[in-house]
Amino acid sequence: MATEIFELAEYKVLSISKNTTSRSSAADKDRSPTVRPNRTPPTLIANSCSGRPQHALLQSGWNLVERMRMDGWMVTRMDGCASPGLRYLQLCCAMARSSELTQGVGRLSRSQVFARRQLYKGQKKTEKPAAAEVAPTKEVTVGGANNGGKRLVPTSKAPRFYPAEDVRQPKKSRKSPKASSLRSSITPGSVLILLAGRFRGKRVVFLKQLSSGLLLVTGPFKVNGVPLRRVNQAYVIATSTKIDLGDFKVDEKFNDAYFAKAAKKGSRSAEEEFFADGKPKEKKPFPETKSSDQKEVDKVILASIKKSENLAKYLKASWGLSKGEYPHQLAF
Amino acid sequence: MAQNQPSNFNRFVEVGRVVLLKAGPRAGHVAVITEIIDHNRGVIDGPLTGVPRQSFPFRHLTLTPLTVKALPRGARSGIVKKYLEKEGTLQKWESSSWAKRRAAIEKRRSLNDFQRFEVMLLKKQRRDRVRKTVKVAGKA
Repeated sequence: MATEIFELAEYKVLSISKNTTSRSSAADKDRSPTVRPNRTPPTLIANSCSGRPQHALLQSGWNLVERMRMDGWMVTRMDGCASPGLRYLQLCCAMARSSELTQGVGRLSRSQVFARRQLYKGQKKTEKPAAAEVAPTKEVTVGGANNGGKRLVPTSKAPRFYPAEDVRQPKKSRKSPKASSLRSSITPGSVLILLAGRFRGKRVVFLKQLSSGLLLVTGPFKVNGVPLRRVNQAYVIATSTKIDLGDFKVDEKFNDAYFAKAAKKGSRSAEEEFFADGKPKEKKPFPETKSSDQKEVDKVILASIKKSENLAKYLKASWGLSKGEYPHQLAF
Repeated sequence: MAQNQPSNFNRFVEVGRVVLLKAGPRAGHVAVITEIIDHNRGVIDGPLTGVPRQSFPFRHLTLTPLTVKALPRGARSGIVKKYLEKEGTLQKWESSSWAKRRAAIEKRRSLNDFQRFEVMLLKKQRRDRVRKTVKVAGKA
């Protein structure tokens, strides 16, 4: 499949690696933000103004219609794309600029700039080669009849002066993070109202606190679509409603590791991965084990909910404030 | 001349007047005025509502339409209790729409999230029934 690479940085001078030196110098002269399709080598990396290699693979037959800036992103509009939905292609970051609020004070913080410029992509993770071991002493031939001919001399001389002033030792911090305690109003079976995240406003059932301090909650999934999930108790309202869980014990396998994401290998960009083999990647199906785990946990809770008439409706409904209602004046 | 004219008001600060407390630890309870100290304060007593005999500023009281008839001035708690029981003043107060509304508001405020939700469901049911009945009645 023939691919073409469009070099995408803005008006800045670009250093283009390999075969296109002549072409890039020509482009530098007019400084136009033209798109230069590179026909000879199939892969070529152009350095953008942020100094990191950025490129996009585009299927041949796509025509660039226009390019514009949106929120610090360079966006190109393409035509002739196979799927009609893919009219706009967000190609690469044209250097998220932290416009200055006043002299020396940028609009974005350091970490925001780091995130927007995607500097994490270019971070080096190489280890330094181990330094070759040097022998502490070496033999030196010495002139003079009475000097014995050879001598063992230290490879690096001891310093002639010792620093007169003490070097300050940094203070050792003896603080360590405290284990977070569970709010007294939250007990297993409590109905909680989530206030943040993608399930904000949902009423969920609390199961247990994990060692990280996060709360393990479940919708139940069948009732309101909230899966087994960890939430921070700071973003939760505890209600006085309790669901009787009896002597139900949550399995020990539901720990923080259960919810951790699998570590990603390598530094392939999301874009690259998405368009691997020129096609958007297929979605992975939800793991069977997780859905069966969900069902198993929810079974007891659902049975308990069914005993009460309105409890399922209550959990299904989402919570909100209306006019004149203030959470600090409400009883939960 | 002016003395003989009937007043435009019908609730007065007087001995035997049932009052609602607006402040203090017993706020929201009713008591009876048993003595007028001056134009700002009076002695109140509520032996049946847990309000101890005490002097109380009138600006922290609300006058109710109820009075205890013929309550002797400066009566102590025992006498006040007897009069209140005899006249059934507390029952009269509790059956008033004012007291009922107050109790309802109190109750609503104390509901928890789940109970509020249940109230919402019941109100929906009521609305539905009313709507349907009105429609049927309108056709007939």
